[in-house]
Amino acid sequence: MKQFIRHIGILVLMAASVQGAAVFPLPPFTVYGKVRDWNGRTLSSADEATVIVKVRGVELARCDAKSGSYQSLTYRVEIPMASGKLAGRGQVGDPITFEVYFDGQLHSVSASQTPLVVGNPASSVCCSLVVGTFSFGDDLPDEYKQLLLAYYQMAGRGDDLASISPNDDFDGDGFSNLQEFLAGTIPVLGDDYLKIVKFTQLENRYLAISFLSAPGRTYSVPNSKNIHSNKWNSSGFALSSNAPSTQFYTSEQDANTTLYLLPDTNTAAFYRLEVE
Amino acid sequence: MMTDPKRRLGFSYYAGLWAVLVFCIPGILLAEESGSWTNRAGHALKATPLSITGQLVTFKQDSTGKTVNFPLTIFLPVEQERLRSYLKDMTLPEGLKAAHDFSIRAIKRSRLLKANGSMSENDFQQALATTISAFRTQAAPFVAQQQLSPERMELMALELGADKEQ
Repeated sequence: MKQFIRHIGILVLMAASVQGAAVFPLPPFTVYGKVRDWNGRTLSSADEATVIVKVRGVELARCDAKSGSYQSLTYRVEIPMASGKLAGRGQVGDPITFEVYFDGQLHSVSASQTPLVVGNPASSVCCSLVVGTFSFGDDLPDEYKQLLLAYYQMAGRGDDLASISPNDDFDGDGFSNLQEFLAGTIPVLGDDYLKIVKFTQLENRYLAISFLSAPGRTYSVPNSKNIHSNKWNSSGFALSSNAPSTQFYTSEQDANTTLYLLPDTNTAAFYRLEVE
Repeated sequence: MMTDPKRRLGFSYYAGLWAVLVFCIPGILLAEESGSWTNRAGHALKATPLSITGQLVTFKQDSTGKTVNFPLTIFLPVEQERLRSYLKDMTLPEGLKAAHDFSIRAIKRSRLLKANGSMSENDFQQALATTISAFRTQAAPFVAQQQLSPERMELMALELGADKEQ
């Protein structure tokens, strides 16, 4: 009997050790956001770009950049997870890196979340990506700085890429190089920055807001009943007075653009133009 | 009665001359255009260009009929331009295309700002001059490295300043 109990005990111990070593698949960790080229333009389906996600240096997921997703988000990948080390799956805390295949080449990217690690199973994180080379550890790609360099040289404000800071306001229009990069305006043109050029109340109750849009940028016009509250709610608008209402507009080119809002007639409201 | 030697063969001398001009000279010019390409060492390659991919040009050698590839950069800049033109390739050297596109955008947006009343005519002219000057600065290293002929750079600068929608 003692012998039998000892054997049972050994079997239980073996089972427990196998149980401890077992690794279970877990629900995936999701990363999503927008991916821009080094001009700041959001990549869309037409660009045929692919976002490649690596965990511990190994590719675990990829997806194509797609336009028409929620708001202006263009990629969403699910990283398979496991409770322990398992080939093809990540664990909580593993470092995540990205690459983007675009324009026939594999590019390095800068991520808005650094360092980015795998989070809890079934959770998600928003992380925007910019394709390019980032030699100076800031958010402005070298390729974009290269475009501005001639202007810096001509103005006697620097002779190399190191002299171009994202926080500079080269043209003195009140917006930094980085802000203009994101907004798609030209950081060496003092008259070019995001602004409402014309605001008109039309006879059919519509408010018309005109501005100069940029390619690959998404615009919205949130409103607030009380500007001091800093609470802004999304507004519906249309691209013409008889077009269907939307909350976001992504421009495909540089163009003078007008958005039509139908405000509530009973209460006053403030509107502002946003770009992302 | 003496026969006019120009009419002995039964057709006008001038018609014959025109026939020579119309049928032969373009052929001679075309042969010259497609047949000989001079590299930086001064040697002439006798071949017909077939295609260009990036910086690589594919030729069919006149002597052997074989297909060979040569980097565009081994040829004289003027020959590079002639090759691009022959193959209808307007690709700019890598790096310069981005600068050119940026200049086009800067000028396009300046025109739109002028149109919507955000930029005065004087500011527009100044922006145009600055953009063209910056483009020349950006293109200068490519000219120095003989990746772009000075003539093409000037042509591109002129096109940027042309009063038309890019």
